[in-house]
Amino acid sequence: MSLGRQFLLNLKIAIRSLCGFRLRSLLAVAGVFLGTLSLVIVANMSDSLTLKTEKEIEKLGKNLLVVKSKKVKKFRFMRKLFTSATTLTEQDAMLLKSIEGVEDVMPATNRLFPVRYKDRTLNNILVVGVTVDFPRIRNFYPATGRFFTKEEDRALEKVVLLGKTTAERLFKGENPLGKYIYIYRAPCRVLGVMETKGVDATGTDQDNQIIMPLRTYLRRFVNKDHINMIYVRVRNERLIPKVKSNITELLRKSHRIGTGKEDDFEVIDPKDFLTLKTEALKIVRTIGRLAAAVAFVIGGIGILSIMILLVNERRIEIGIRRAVGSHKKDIIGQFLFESTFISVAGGALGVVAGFLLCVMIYLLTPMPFAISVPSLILAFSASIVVGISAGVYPSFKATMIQPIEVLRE
Amino acid sequence: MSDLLCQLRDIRKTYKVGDIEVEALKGVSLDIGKGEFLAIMGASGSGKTTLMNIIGLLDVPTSGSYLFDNRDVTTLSDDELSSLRNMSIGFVFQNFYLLPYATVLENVLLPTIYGEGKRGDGKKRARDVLRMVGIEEQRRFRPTQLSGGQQQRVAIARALINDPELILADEPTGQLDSKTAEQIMNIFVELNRSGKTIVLITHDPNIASYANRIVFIKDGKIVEE
Repeated sequence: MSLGRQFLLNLKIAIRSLCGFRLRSLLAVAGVFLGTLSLVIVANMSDSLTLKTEKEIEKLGKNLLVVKSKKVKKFRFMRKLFTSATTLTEQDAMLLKSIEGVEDVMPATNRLFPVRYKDRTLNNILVVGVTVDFPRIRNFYPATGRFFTKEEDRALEKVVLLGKTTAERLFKGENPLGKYIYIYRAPCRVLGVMETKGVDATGTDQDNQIIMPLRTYLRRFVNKDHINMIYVRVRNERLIPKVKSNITELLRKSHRIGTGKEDDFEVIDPKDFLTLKTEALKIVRTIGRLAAAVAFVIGGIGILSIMILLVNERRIEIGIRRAVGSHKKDIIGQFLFESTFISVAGGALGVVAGFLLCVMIYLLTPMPFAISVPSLILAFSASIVVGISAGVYPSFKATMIQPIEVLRE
Repeated sequence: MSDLLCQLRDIRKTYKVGDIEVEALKGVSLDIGKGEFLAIMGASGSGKTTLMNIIGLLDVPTSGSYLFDNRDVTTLSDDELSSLRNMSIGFVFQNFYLLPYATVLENVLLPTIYGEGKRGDGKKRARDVLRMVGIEEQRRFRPTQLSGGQQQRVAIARALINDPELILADEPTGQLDSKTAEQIMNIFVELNRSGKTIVLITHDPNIASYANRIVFIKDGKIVEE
């Protein structure tokens, strides 16, 4: 009973006496506010970015390795030129099928082409040549129409599938099925439009590209034998490192690369992007926490200075309280409570504002929704810790006040 | 068991002011009976405030023995002294010393928040003691809205809230005009009549004359009864 009454009375007195230091209180509250705010936002944003990366990797396909021909330096006319190595072939893809643990292999190659439908021209559209296994391996299917068949691939038919965005840009609402578009100067029949997929882990916009049979692409468009990508699907996640090293070994042999010489290809595990991004996010997180710590320290110092002022201002009050029978621990409790009160006011505001700000960001941007509850709790607890630690010294000073010294005219 | 509330024997108190030791009390022996109305008189610097602080358990003597209600209080810890003050002693000061941030009622309730909470409903008791000192109407006011006499009434109500054995009043009328002083002193007389032990510290003979017994203190010694 007396504890509840003590709490209420002390709360009232705390608020009324803080009103005497309005500006200082406001600054201290603002410090803690910014600390919790930055903690909450950094935690939620990095959670959201991690989620986004994970989703992008899922888009690429599960347990997928990508073999890419490497950029190599060539010197020509005294100028440095960078071009892709021309050593990766369909035969390499066949070779990789023999590796244990490999479930599926798909050669693919791409280039930018100008594309035209009627009087609408798009200058740089990525055109990819793939095999019929593409939908299965990439988990990416036509939304309307159909994919091309093995027979069409073998017969070098000029048939294409459009990414959703590309279809919209070229056809502006017209139904593209069965229509002919011009890639370079060759007319190609549109078989279908792919489903929406977004940007994948390699940074390619899956919705803004044109897909056609690999053989048609190689014979009729570029007239070359080399490709620049092989997708390799591995049966089991645990086998990925082993498969990766086997691929390297096999391709080095096939490309006749001597020991000590560099690979002319690279094997990419999309999970590496995740690790890379996670690393980057860690740095962002650390910086955010550092900023939060600085804000907390500033807020804490603000609270400390207010509390020292308050204790000095209220020496007589402390003397009276001691005279009417408060123990030292009651005085400590009272002033710790006051400093925590200031801090928690800022903390609560910061948590709420951080939460609302994150929700707003999620609603206004395509970032996936991720609210980290532990971070909300952590930020709030941090504000309590700041309040208590800032109150330790002033409340200790308060207990040093002797009633006989202050209650004297 | 005796019916003495306070038994002070050869109380000495020395303060250090810089390097100089000042002896404020030089062997004071004093008995205060239960139900007594005692005035301690002396000029400023005579040691009467130090004596009051020791009687009121706000300070401990350097040497000597002090039994409060038959209990040796010279060996008690800070917390034990605080609890004893809370339950057994009510203070009334010259400057009233009310909390400016709290209302009249909250000021009167202040001692109850540190009590054990065993004395029933504090709010009801607070209104009772405020009625007793004639200031119940103003219970929602702030101290700054009250006159000096009214503030002192609030302070007396605060001293009474835990129903202590002893009321210690240090120059309670020092800030008041003579008419108000008379009213306040009549409250003390009334309280004494209802059985409270009252110790009054003053330098004013008119005020001291309300007491049943007067002791004079000079240079840290009791010189006359």
